[in-house]
Amino acid sequence: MEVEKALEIVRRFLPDWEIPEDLILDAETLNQISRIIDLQSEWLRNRASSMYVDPLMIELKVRALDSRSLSEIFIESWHPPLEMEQLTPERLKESIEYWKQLPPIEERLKGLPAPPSAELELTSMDALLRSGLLSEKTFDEVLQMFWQELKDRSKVGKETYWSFILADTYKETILRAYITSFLVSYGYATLETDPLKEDVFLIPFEEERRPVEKKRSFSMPISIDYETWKKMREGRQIE
Amino acid sequence: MLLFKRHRQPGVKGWELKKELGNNFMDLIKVLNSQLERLDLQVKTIFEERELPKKPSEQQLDKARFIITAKSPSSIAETKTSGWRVDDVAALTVTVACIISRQGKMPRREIEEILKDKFPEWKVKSNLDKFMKIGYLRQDENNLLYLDWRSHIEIDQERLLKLILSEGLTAAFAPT
Repeated sequence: MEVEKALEIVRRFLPDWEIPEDLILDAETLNQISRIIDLQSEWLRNRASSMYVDPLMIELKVRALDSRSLSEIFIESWHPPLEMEQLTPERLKESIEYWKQLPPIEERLKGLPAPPSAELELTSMDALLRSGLLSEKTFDEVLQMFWQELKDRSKVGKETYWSFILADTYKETILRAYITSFLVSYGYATLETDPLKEDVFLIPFEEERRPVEKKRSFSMPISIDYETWKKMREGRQIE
Repeated sequence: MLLFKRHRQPGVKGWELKKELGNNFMDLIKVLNSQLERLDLQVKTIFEERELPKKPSEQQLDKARFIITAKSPSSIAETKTSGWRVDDVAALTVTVACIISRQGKMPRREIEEILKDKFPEWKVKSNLDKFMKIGYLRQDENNLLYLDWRSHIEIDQERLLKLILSEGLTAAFAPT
């Protein structure tokens, strides 16, 4: 490409530009021209080096040569490295010391904490009722109550997920989060995220919407551990 | 230190030598080189930069890898005993030569096309994968192949190209 000619054209039309968009286009052109100069310089450096050969010439040559000739060429330019694969006396000493100090496996196992008696499992509705996390009210009633609460609170302004689920105790917060997850899954509300502030908002629907098709739905895992709850709680008290 | 492997790669980095031998480690390398010459060995310095620095800076030397290699190319008889098949070596030669001639990078697909001229497809694919595994080649996310550390250490790239280019001439002038 004739860079000088391209620059001359840019210079000739520069006084005619009036709107910023035209000037931006000129700046983009200059950027592209400088990229071409960079590539041309790399190409020249390569051609000037002793390693330059026409790629097509090499391809034709290697296609014409048989395996034996190619192998001989490789061997004539091959300088294999020297490597040593053996233990050093220092490493051996370290290994012996390690072996001496290593307690028998039975003793090591004794030191480990006993495995938990009950295995982790998903919480079922029955289990929540048994543990008292849910009252005897029907689950649907609880859901309706939450939906109404969300609608009421959203009248003032957008309700964030955390402000909605946050309660005085950690146990209650978990319960609210659990029920809120059903509000979203059953089509009573939706989640909206603000990627800049990393906020998650709960937006209630005025009417129940049938859950969307599986392929259009998405999951949003939100971790609620004790430490996060504590921080959120302290934050609310400050406000 | 120069003979032991770190992970999969032989040799040692400049900063490691400096730590053990002091700031003048390059003088010691020169002395060692003159001693190794008698055994037809050499200490080779591989810099991170593609182009060899004329006067390497301290930082470039710190990052460089120092390895002992054979000074003269090995004989064909020795290579026969090193476990390499002739067609594997030929495939490696073609791949390395083509990559050098294309300024150090080439699409894998194009290399495969050239190799498939003489080797079956499964062999071409397994060879390229093998060359990558042992450090002769590396591949990026755009399926471009580059020479990797082992090619830079072991292969005299300029000599390889010259030998390929002169091979036809040698054959033409060979007595019939």
